This record gives sequence, C-alpha cells and structure tokens, in this order.
Amino acid sequence: MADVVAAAHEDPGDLDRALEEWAGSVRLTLEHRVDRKDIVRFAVATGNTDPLHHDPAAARAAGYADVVAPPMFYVSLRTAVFNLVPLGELHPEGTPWRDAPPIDFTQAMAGEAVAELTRPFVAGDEVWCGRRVEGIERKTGRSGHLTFVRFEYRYDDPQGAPFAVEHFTRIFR
Amino acid sequence: MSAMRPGEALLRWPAAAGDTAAGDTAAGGVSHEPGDAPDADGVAVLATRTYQPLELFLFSAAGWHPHRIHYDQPYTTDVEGHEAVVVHGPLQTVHLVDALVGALDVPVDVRTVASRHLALLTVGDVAVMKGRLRDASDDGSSATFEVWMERGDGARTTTATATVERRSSSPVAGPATGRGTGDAR
Repeated sequence: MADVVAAAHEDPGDLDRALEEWAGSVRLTLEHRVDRKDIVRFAVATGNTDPLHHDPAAARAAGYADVVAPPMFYVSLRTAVFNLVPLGELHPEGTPWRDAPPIDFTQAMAGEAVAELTRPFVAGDEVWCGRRVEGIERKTGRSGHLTFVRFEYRYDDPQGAPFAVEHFTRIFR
Repeated sequence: MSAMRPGEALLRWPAAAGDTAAGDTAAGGVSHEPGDAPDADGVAVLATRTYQPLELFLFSAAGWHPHRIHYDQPYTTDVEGHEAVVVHGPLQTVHLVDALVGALDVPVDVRTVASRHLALLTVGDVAVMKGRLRDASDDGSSATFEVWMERGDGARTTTATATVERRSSSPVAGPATGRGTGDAR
C-alpha cells in the first residue's frame, strides 16, 4: 500500500491508474439475510420504540410477515455487510483498508448521501448488497488535497427488485 | 410562542401544491422546543437530544461500524483532534427522518432522503431538530420536507431533504413464506 501511495504522488498518471484499480477492487456483491435481531438492534440503538420494529405479533397484525425495519435501516446494512473483514484488515482509524483509496489521508468524512427507498426491509428478507465506485474527484484547497469518492450501494432481493439504492460520498483529507 | 395541545401534530400534511399554510398549524409563534407551534416561516422544532456515548456505541455495534471517532475518546481527541467522540452523520439523519415522520399528522412512507453533513456534532452537544414543508405534489399524495439539526452554537450539523408519500394502503409484505428468524433478542 505504501509503495502505491509514494508512486501515485510522483506521477498523476500513476495515481489515476491506482485509483482505477482500487475502484475495481471494491466492487462487490454480498448476500445478507436480514434477521430479526438486525432490526431490533437498529431500532433500540436509534431509540425507535414503535412495536412494528420490535414485536412480530404487532408487525403481523399490521400486514407484515415479521418485524419491519425503520425507513433508514439501510444505513446499517452499508456498514454491517461491507465492514465485516478480518481484524488485521482494518485501518488504524477503524474502517477497512480496502475501502480507502490508495492515497495519503488523515481523515475520512461522510459527505452527501442520496437514497431512494422502494420498500421496507422485513425480517427474513434475503438481500443482495452491491457496491461500486461511481466516480472519484480530486480537489486541492487551502487545507490541502481532498478526494471525493462517490459510491453506489444497491440493496435488491434475489430477483433483482430493489429495496433501496444509495449514492454516498466519502471525503478523504 | 404559542403552545400546541398535547398530541397535536407538529407538521400538518399539505392538501395539495400551493398549500402554503401547511406545516403551520398555528403560525406566527417562535418555535424553540418540541410542542411549540411552527414559526412564521413554518419552521417547527421536531425534537431535541443531547447525545451520550452509550447510544453512539450501540449504533456502532448495531451496524458493525468500527470507525474509532464514534466510541474511542483518547483516539478521537489525541489523534484526530476533536473535542469529544463524534456523533455519526447517518445517526443524525436517522433521527431527523424519524422526527419528521413522528411530527406529521398522517402516516407516511419515506421515499427519498438526501442528506449532507456540514459540521461536527459531539457528545454533550445539545442538538435541536427542525423542519418545514418545502413543496407538495399537485394531488397532495406526496410532499417534500427540509429537516436539519442544529447544535448549541446554532451551526447546522446535518441537513436533509426527505420526500414522503401519504400512506393509503396496506404495507408491502415481507417474504411470502412469512418466516421469521425465531431469534429475537
């Protein structure tokens, strides 16, 4: 990794190639079965006390097959599915090395996120979680280099029907 | 300020496009806290919250979110130079959307959410969630609201635009088999 960074800063063409190679490496589709604990834990952690998110009987009475996730549940899939890597593959700041582009940075920040929500996740749903890099933009400001990486995250059922699609930008400084 | 009756919705659903009074159930007040009527611009305080380390840890754990600035105080202050552990941007968005849904006087489904994180919010900061109607569809079936979170110094830490649809039918069912995991908690 360090060799790639050093080479990248010496030649902009090398940097472009390294970023392109990295973008290809983080394109993944992972299967995840949403279970009841996923939903209940998210509801508890976010302070949501609606019985539809906790009580299967209440959810069934409302027409769902099982407990239904709060609208923003997809944000936990983004991390729960893609951050599950061996301990040795975590950057010192805590997130997976593979998610960081091959550049020098000291801080990673959340940027703009735009999500389209088609239907709610229900316990028992099989979800295909897909991630790809949509674009990378480098800017230089008074605080130094900023690299904007725009990801697309898709959450579909096995037949390809969407639950949610999110376009999420991470900013590396 | 003018107080609202207990149980009264903070934001009224618009009848249709151009319903400028929507969200303004008792216009003219100065909205400082949940329960106050929206102000003259239709801005209502949806909720207030002072984040604590425990809920940040739980959100990190529930979503397998290992970024250390959300739970590791020495790392956050000594290495990254922040004053205290940092509230997740997505957690702020979750709370803003939940507050919006809870403030409306009709049940809704959330269809789109666009959010931006503008400034840091750390544990101990008093966060105030505010919102107002931006526009509505011609037939009154959907509406777009602006919501945002302010910290104690008035800076907006997260802003979001959410489009919601008025719920008019049964929910979309989960798996046809109706199977559950059988392992709740």
